[in-house]
Amino acid sequence: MNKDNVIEIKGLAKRFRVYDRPLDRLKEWLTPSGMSFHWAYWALREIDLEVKKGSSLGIIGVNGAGKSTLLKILCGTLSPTFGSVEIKGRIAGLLELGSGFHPEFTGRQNIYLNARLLGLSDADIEKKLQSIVEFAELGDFLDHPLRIYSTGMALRLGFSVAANVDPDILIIDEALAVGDAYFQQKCLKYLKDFRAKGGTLIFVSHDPGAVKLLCDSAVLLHKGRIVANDTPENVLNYYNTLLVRDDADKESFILERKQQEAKSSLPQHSGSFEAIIEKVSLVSDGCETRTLFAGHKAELKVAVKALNDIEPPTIGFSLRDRLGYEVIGTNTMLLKKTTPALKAGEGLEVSFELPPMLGPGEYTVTVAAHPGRDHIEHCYDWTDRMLAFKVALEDESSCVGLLNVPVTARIEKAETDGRNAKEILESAFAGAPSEITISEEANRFLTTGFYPPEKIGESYACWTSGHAVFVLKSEGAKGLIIRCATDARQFESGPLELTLTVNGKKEVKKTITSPDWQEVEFPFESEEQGMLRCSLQVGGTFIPENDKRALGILISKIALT
Amino acid sequence: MLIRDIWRFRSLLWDLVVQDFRARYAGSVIGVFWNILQPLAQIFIYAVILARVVGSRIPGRVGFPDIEDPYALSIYICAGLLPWLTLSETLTRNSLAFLSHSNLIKKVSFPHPILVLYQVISGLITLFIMHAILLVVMIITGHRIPPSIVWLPVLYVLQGLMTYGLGIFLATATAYFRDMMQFVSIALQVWFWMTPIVYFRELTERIVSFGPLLLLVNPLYYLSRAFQILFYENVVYYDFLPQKLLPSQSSFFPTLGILLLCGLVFSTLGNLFYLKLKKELPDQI
Repeated sequence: MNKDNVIEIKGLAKRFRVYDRPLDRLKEWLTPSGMSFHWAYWALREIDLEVKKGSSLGIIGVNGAGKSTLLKILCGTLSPTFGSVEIKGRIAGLLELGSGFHPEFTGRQNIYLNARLLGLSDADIEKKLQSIVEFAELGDFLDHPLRIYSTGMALRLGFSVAANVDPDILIIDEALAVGDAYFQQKCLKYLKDFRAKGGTLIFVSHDPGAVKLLCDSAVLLHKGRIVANDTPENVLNYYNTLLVRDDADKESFILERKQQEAKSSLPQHSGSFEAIIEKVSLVSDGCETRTLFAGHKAELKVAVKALNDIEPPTIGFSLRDRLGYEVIGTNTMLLKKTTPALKAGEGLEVSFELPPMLGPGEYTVTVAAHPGRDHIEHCYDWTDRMLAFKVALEDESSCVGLLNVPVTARIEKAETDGRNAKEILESAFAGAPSEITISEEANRFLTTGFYPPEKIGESYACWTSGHAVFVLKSEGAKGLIIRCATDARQFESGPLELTLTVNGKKEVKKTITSPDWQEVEFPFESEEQGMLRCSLQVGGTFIPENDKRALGILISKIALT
Repeated sequence: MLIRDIWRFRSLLWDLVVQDFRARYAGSVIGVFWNILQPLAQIFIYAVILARVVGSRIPGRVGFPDIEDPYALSIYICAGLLPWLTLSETLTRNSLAFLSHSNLIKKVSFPHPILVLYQVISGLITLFIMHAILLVVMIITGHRIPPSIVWLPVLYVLQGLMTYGLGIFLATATAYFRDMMQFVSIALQVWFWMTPIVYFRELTERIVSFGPLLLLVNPLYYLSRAFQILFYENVVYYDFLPQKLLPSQSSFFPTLGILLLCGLVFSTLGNLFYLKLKKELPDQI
């Protein structure tokens, strides 16, 4: 094995034996050798691949090209039929969400389970636990069972375990696509650091932008063979031509896009079709793409073909973000461009230059061709979701949101105006009462950590989370009474402790021992005057069935005494 | 090789055992106690109800006087039934060990026999708990516990070895042929009634004429026999046997020897079967 390489694959082939009936296998076992009752499916053939230490390889291919099989062989879960695979160092794979997780276990227990599956010793896990927990950012959920996690949370947990076992080679299979933008950015940053430290990355994706961003070389798998092994740019170009050439695979590509972007079903044409929109493409940096980098210029090219003789058409487009909001919309007439009248069979191509200001995210393009100013009177063709594309950030995020425009920041120390904290609070929470009875309406003085009021019997009450903040105005109050109840589950590990902090000081602790309605009194050390910023810490939370909220206590009334 | 791999993943193995106890009953109210209630119900049926129906008449043993112990039959049945329940439950679970963890096998690389092994261990822990209960009940009903009970852990190891060997075979075979599951449940029933657990071995002849011969090649016979010596013969004939750390029955050590041989042969063959087929195992599940 070459010493620069961490992975060397020679002549690898993988055959799956497919038996139409289980009986066929038995027949094959029992009859003299040479008789075969199966048919062979070759998922991989003649694969030769070398991966250098510290490099990052993208694997591209349509569904069924053999990507997953290759990854599983690299991870050691499948064994090759022919050929050899040599790997130097620890390999950690994020093959699929939630593999190696147990739904009834808490996040913490799953970290242990998962890390042990990756072959870590207990001492190693103890050492890594803190950084795994920090990276996953699960908060209170860490000690709740995995089954109540959202997909994104489970992904975060899986990624942080894989990322923190210090692998020499990290394999990422599409998993990144699931997290939110914040976590994706965090992962990208991690992956960059990982590579900077000499780690080797293998990345499988359908997303050309991500491959360009992360990989310095790529291979294209097609029907189980490597058909291209080059720079990501060249391989992606090859991929696109391959898609166009091979109709059967094109279908599967479209199908993939459909799965990826649930809402982008096939383009929906409507209109009278005197002219039809033939093709819409997005061109950036000189090549056709479906991923833009934020800050790069791009052109939207619309090709229209007349089916009848038509008067000068107006061509327009509108860009919608993933929630369907129109971000940009215009047409040739609004831009004061004139188009020629077309005879049947003639075509027209309009290029719109898009501003380099689109924020990161997914966009769809709707295109229309119609006579006159808009499509309302008459429309030749109106096609929704003609094209979907993505705007990716080249760098770590400098902003979030719809627009990626330069923003500057300047920081100065503020001058004090002599007002004290109570006065500032007073102006922010003018009209604060000295007691709050929960009613149907949300109360603006219950500022943080209160869920919407619920009807309990004849009156109303609010659940709090583990930490609730409210504001009251006191005129010489000596204490605070909270009328509350909670759930029996809160007492599974002993009495429940409530801690009240007023204006950031003087903690008062009280414990309750029963879940029934009761009035808990928090005496103040001295009489309080003016605005009180009260912060109530509940010693524990629970999560009811069919609910994802972490609940603390149920409050019906708060009053100063 | 295999043993070293398993040793490397020993904390995973322990995790799986703990998970097994916790997860099997997660969400149920009395949790782990189902683990014990289930076999207790079986014991109740066989040991109490059957003993009442059949009556507590014990055939006299050569060289021993007749005994007047109303619990004798119940103890006899429990002695053989508990290990049997463990064995049959573990083997039933083992046959699904690979199939039910297909998600894990396909996505993570680790020694698969761990999946069989943890079920075997978890079964033996349950057996240990049930034996502890049995001993307490025996003491309450006025029996003396012979010192030879210290041999119990050895029996656990031997039973574990035997179960593992059969289990890894079943797990692999079921991954390739789903029919194995059905076969296992039928085979277990036949095996149970072919073994003197709820009847005495002297009665084997009544079932089929070559019954006694069949016993000689039935590993389960030796297993239940070993447990019956410790829990039944040494307890019921307490006063008539010299009570030492070594059981005084001359057949005890040959029985252990046969069990050890069975265990080694089974686990070697089971492992070979698995190693032969493991290459395509993830493709099949």
